[in-house]
Amino acid sequence: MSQPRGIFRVLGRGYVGLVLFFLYAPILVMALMSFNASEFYAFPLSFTLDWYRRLWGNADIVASAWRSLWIAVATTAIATVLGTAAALALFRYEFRGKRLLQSLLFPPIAIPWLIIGTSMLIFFFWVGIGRGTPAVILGHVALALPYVIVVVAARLQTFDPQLEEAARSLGAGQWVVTRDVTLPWIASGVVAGALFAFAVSFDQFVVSYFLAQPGDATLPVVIYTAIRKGFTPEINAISTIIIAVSMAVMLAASRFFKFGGER
Amino acid sequence: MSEVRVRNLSLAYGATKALDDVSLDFPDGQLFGLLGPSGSGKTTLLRCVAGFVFPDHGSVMIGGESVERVPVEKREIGMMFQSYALFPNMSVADNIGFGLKVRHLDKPEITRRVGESLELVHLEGLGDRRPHALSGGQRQRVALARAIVTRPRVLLLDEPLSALDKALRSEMQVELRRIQREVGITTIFVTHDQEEALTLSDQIGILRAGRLVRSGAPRNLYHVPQDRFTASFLGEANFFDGKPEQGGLRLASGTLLPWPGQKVEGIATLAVRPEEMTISAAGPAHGNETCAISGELVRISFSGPTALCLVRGEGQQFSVLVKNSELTEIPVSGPVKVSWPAARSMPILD
Repeated sequence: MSQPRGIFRVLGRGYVGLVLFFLYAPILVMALMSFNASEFYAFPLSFTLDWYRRLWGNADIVASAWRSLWIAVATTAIATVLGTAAALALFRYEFRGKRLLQSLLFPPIAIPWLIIGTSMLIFFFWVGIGRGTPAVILGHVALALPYVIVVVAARLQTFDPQLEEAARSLGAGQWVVTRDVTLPWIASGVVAGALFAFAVSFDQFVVSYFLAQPGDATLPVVIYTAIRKGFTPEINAISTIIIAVSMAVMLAASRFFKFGGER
Repeated sequence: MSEVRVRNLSLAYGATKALDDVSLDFPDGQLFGLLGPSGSGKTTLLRCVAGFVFPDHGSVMIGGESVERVPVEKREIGMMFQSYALFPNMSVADNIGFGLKVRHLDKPEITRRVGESLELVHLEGLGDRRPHALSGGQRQRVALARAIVTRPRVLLLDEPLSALDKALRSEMQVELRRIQREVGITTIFVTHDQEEALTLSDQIGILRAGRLVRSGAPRNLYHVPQDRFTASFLGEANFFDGKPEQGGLRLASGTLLPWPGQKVEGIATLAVRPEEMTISAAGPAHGNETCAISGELVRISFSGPTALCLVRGEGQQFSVLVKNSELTEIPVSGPVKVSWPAARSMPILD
């Protein structure tokens, strides 16, 4: 790749700097303030872990954090298994209606979560599931599935179908072929898809807000409720933790899945 | 006994017939080459025997047993793929041992047989390598070892040498032939390379547009091609069309090409291989035994040991292959005489 020169190089670097600034400045300010003793964001910053301590004492937040975590883990497990199976079916095998199913896969990503949340609420009441944790998990799985399928499918595109044929010619049945040949090849895609599913569930607000019962809300919903009552630096603290977790997950995902193709 | 027989195989993809009533015997222990241009159905035929595709009509028998309802994994075949299809997540030894592991052989037996196979293909000591750390030729040997270690009833090779460069290819042709003889396994291989088919095969089947055109021993097919397609696809051929007469084939210019030895009446076409013809300065024809036509030398393409002369005559162009040493005896251009023994004319029936 060639390097841009002179003024373009300076402009290019400045532009990248600006993008990163707009993305990260608010987050950095928030993270800093979560360590600031002053409740009113006064400078100079005096370091404290008080807000984190208070956070730990807040039973509501701690309980909802654990709930969010296990809902995310459950969502990840279900969405990864279903999504991987769906990707294998959609991109490795031929069947009637395949094209239609493939094209129906992506629109849900573009539908606003508010509308998905509303429609899920109506639907779950209509079929008798109602609100509650099962509804939340079902909703999260539905949201996460397209992401898992897309990521696993991208990895499958590089899979040589002759590998499966070779395994079959050597006497391996369908299950052994999948376990010993196909899955090892797409493993990195499956892991990346799982991390996506985790992030989608753990960070989900709108759908959780509609589907969770008032008593057992997830962490983002509890934060939202707390902010409505009055903003405290505790919120900065828990937000900083969430951001740290989410970023760790996405950084891990990027190790397994190369965004924007192979480099 | 593990000869393979296919009978009346037909398979259509929509309007195109991939296979059209093909019947063939692949004799036990022989190396059978399926030759044809792309789209001729040769790979489809191979995949029918393997069990990856199922024919619309017809039957496939392996060792006298009908296998229509037998899935690939139960057919006891060994197959080598064009891309070799080595499992990238496994070592060379694990690749070769895969078929044995699937058959639940115990570990020492697997190790022993993998070792034997590595020896057979001359890759001793490379068992721990990953496929990506091997050269093209080595990968090819691993793929072959993997395909035969399970002692299959039939070995299927899909364009086995096409991914190798020319020098390595001729070396591997010899290797393939040696290993096939040593193991004595019925082998079917697909190629579009006529030279490879001639070199390797005990028998050749020529396919075109889903139909079997001819089958037989390489030399027989080369010297007695009988049809236009076989004559031009297996080697090169010059065709002369005319009116059959008592003494021979009368060309439009009036030249008479005497019949080649045997009685062939009513034949309107004779084919001649470029290497059977001699080219010389224009002069009177001699003897009744010899075919001779006069023409104009258009171009000479030199290619090391031989040169191909393009001659215009009898209202068409044809090529004559001459040895490098004979080049000095012919004019650079202008009128020439091309001749060949009448016995070298090959009657074309279609």
